Amino acid sequence: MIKTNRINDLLLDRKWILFFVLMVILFLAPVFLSDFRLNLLAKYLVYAIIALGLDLIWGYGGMLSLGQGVFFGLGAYCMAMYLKLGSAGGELPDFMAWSGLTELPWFWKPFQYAWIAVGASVIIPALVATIIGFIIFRSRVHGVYFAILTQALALVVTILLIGQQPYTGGTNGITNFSTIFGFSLADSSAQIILYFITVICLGLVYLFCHWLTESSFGRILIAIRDAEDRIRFCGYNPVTFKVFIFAISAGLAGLAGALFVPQVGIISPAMIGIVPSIEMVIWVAVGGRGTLFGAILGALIVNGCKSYLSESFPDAWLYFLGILYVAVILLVPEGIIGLTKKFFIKRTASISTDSFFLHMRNFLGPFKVFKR
Amino acid sequence: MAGTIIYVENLTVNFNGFKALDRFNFYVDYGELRFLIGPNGAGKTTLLDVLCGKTKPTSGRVVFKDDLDVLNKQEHELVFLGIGRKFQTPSVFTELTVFENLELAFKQKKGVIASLFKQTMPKEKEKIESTLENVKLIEKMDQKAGLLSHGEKQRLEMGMMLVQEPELLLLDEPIAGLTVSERQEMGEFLQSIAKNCSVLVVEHDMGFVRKFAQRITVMHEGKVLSEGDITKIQNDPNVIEVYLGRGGNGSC
Repeated sequence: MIKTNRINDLLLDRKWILFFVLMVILFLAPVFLSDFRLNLLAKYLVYAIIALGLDLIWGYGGMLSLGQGVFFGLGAYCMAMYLKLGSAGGELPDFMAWSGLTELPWFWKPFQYAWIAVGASVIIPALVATIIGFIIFRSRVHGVYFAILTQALALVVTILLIGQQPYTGGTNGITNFSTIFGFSLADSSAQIILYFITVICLGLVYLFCHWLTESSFGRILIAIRDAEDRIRFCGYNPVTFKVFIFAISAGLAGLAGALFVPQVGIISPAMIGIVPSIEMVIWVAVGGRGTLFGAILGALIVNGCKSYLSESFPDAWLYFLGILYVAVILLVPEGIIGLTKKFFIKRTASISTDSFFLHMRNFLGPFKVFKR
Repeated sequence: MAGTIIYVENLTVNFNGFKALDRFNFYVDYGELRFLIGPNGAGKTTLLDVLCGKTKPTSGRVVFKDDLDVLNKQEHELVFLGIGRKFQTPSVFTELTVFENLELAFKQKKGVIASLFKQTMPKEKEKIESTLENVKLIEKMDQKAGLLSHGEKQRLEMGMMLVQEPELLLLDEPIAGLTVSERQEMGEFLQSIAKNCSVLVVEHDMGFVRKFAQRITVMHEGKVLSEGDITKIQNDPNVIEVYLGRGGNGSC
């Protein structure tokens, strides 16, 4: 008993060492990277936050959301409204004037205040997810039907945003921001600060997700994924658990949206619709479902590849992305994390000394994967 | 303890014109080990489904203990009130360890917030470990439940029911797929838990029923055909005609 405890402690240590190393690398990144690359990295880190949220509902809870882009978009639009109003400097935002509006719509007004915008970017997506989730889960819709419904949601929201041009900026979305919290966005120091805020947010979100999944709640989530009917007969109401985690993942996507807008400088319906929502699923699938590190790695690697391939082969990168996804699903359904685990277990089996095996297990601690 | 723990009155379940239960009347006493038998389609499983809240009937009344109306409660609420249900095929949480399976089932607050801040109490651990001893899975407590054999999964599920501390247990063919010695163990086990709670078992295996049943209810086409001890049932001409006679006495 004592011995296994010690091993568990070591595993725990390794997990935190890896986390610490990753954070240090991210904090030092501005020293090595050009402004352009740093901006790209910040975007990937924002995506990693979405991936963590998606991993919670899909990897742990078994609910495949094909509409995660909607929640990302809601958060992003909340922030964009604030930035747009700040840039307009008391006047009507440009696209509203072009569309013939003479007065600021009432629902835009609260977004002149930074903290309302920041709060709303997390709370509004979470609230929307709570309402939609409650309706869907209460009528015991799950599996592929849930996926289809969320995809329909992504379509509806994009159509709505495009159709309401005077209020949302239509197809062009909202762009041309100049300041945030009174600082100029064009300033590279503002961008570096935003980058640091993103890194800190990612770290905190990781810790939060880790706490969630390691608690009794996390085990109930896995139980719901594997046998929802059984968990009812253990006395739990799966509806409240599913709604709760759906709302959390939506809130995280919203937070990512709020971080995304000031760094990328634009949000438009094309960035939150069906295709981006499916890309988000790909990040998690490639990294490894049901492991938090997998979700982060997946978002970073897939987007890194995407940038590299789109720079080198601008016409063909979408095919590469498709091939990558198909290959992962067919060959390594457990994602990159599953692959590394398999690789190391094979290696250690051939060497077969206990201490080395232990060493490798320690190394692999953070990659603890749920087999399926 | 005397009195009825569950009381069923004029229960009708209508599946698109097919009456799975037809003005069914039935009750179980406290501390009873009751067996429910009958040919396929007699409505046995449907009855269990209604009692645990899974199926809502067309009409009728079901009262649990003194005055609890079963019909307007959801499954998880009924579990909390003390009705446990085990399905035909063993269903455990395969990705969790044996211990974690029991920990989830353990009688406790089962809301979202409670689960976020839950700590495993020493008392809880003790109770779970003693239950594990009881179902003979103590050496496998840290193993994933998915790796257990069929018989072990059945026992784990029984353990999960026990830590819920139910007052009424509904079991659907608990010995299906078990070996001869496992059946014997399960029968004795059922008798031992019936000391603390009422147990209602649906069973097809007549040999098993004959060996362990105190009281038997025979169902046919959604109604009670006969009720009583094994001698009475075996000599009831109605029962012989619709059920026992069909596949040869007792071989079904």
